[in-house]
Amino acid sequence: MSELLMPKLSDTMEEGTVLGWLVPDGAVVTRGQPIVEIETDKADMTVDAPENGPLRILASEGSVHPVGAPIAWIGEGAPAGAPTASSPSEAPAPAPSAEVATNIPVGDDGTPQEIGVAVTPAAAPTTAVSATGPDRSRIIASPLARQVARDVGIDLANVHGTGPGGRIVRADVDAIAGAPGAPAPTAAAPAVSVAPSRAPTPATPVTFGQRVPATRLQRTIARRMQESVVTAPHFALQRDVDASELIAVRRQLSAARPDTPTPSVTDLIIRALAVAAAERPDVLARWDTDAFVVPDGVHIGVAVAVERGLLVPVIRDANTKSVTEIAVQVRDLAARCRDGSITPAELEGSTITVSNLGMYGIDRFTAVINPPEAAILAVGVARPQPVVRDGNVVVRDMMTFTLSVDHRSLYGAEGATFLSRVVQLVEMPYSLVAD
Amino acid sequence: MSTEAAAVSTSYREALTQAMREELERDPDVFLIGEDIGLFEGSFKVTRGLLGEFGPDRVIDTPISEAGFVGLGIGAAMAGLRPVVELMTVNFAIVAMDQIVNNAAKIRYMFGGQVSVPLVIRMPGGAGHQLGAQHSHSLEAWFTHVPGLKVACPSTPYDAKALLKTAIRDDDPVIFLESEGLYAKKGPVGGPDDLVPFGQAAIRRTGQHCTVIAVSRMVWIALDAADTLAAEGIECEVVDPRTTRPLDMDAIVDSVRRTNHCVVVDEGWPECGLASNIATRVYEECFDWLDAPVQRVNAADVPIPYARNLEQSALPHAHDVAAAVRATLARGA
Repeated sequence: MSELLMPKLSDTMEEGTVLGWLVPDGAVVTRGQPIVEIETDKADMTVDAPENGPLRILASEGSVHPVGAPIAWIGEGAPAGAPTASSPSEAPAPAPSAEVATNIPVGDDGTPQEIGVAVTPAAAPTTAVSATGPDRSRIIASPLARQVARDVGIDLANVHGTGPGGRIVRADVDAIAGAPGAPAPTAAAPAVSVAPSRAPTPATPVTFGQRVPATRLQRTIARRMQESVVTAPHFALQRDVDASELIAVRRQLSAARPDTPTPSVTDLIIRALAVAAAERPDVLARWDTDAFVVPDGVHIGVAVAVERGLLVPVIRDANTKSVTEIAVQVRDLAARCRDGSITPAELEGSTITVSNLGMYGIDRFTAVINPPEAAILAVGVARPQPVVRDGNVVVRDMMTFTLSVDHRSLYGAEGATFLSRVVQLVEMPYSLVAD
Repeated sequence: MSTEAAAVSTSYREALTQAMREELERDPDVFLIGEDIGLFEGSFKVTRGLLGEFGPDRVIDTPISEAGFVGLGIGAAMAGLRPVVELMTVNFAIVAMDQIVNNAAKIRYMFGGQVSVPLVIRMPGGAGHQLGAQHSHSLEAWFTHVPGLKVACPSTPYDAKALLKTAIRDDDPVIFLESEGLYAKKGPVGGPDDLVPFGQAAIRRTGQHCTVIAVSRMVWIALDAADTLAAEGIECEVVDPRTTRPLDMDAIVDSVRRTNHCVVVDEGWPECGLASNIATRVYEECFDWLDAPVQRVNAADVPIPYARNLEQSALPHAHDVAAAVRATLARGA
């Protein structure tokens, strides 16, 4: 018998809504069977049964629960008639779960009780950490796990420990951080999959004199944007960019390789941003109390407008990808943002973001930084403009880049040299397609 | 290890004899003193042939009087000679502890550096030969505890020779702990001028999953355990400190920061032992790199039994090291 806890399905998820149970209360479920749909701040997900046994539902449909709160019991021995809870405060007190570690050798007490080699572990926790539920006041984690979690910005309160006694070890943090090569946690965590069939909720037409309830995604956007503006002192740097060559290159690629997806202007700018960022890890460093935390790579977030919201899927290690690879990936991610099949993992870990409103005819705008990043590039439309070249007025395709910068992380001159490098690459676009 | 010596296979015992012979030849101030080291050629035959080669003025038999001839060695060292004192086993060092701790280790300090004690006290230790509780000690921790001493614990013939030569040439008192169980161990040795500096660990095997720090004979059981574990996909890095004072913390820290897991093995008892001390220093210097508590592997916390089966079960074996590594990695056997 074990508790099914509200899973943490994304880095930023703090609570989730039970959209609907896929099996009735009391039904016998099998491990891996989808049993509940959860709405997170980023996507709707189905959660699979972690083990076999009868399901005892605790959380009613539509109820909201913090990550780690019990939403069901599964398995023999579930308390009969456990009350169906509509809020976490009504949930029964967590009972010791089956995950209590019992195989920890206890430290010797100095008394030779038997002849045998003393393999003496350092004091091992004998309490069941994994059973203490969301209110646990003491988190048992290895020092290394703590350090890694601190570096990547993961709250250990939401990490499931798989070490002895429920200790959070590095692999547990890596599993959430999505570190490459991270071993999978050995303990049974609820398997998560995104419901591909779930179409986005159609927007109800907004009429005057209404209070429109926000979706979880919209509430998340509101919270994060407010957090960004309140905590990150923004300033903006602007450069007019001659995009004529970029547009010419794009046209040539389209003509020369009709069978390959033609990179968009945004794709080429992503490539330029990635190349420039790879040269300047400092630009990606986020401010953290008393230090600059430099991320592990260039992961570019791309703002994608969706019905009733905004998503930022991530091109990981964008600096290692060709323009064509970026183009293919951006199309795929954007399409899946719109049909709801994007996964939380694909929405996490960006280290700098680009937002292009050129397709709406916007000349220039100042974007709000996507926390905890240090900068965001806002791209306006390219228009033919008269500019002076070699003393003559000529017509060029001009666009404006606006780099919003967190002044805690990055200062004016640093932001300026970085933006200038991005502009240089965009204005010399063959470098972007050369490799 | 130097290449010209690699072809030669020499026993740990003979490596020690070579070291003393070469140093007796090199430096007329070197002499040997101890019980039965001359005519009887040593209880473990480590001084075989040396009385005949160097004569009774430089290879001196003594009565059973450890406190007396250790004290004699200290006085001779203060007067400018370089005595190499043999104690029949580490168990008899206990009767000379006052000389070792209160005189050898303190004289340079208490005389403000005006006089040093270039003394080596050799002694074999370890259990496993059914010698009873009083004659089965592993006292590395006792000597390592004392500032003013240096403590060498060679695990290979090469190190036995090279560390003993370093010890004889050192200007401070060196406790040289040999292992009874290794005297017949064969391997390459270095030439007359191949020394191993004190405080420089050897990485006996590289691996990325767990650092296993092992001393003296325990290095070999750690290597056996590493072989077993490799078959399970666990790669151990076996670190042999070679001297426990000074201790090469740089090598240990470097390894643990890479593996994030640590097991320490010594043949002594667990309480206030060598493994405890090394584990503490790992905690002090690698805390934020540890993914699990350090595990110790020691002898059982009992007087070492005489009965063979009990004695064997009281001593650390490769399977104990393997179990400790699996425990720190939270991997089932």
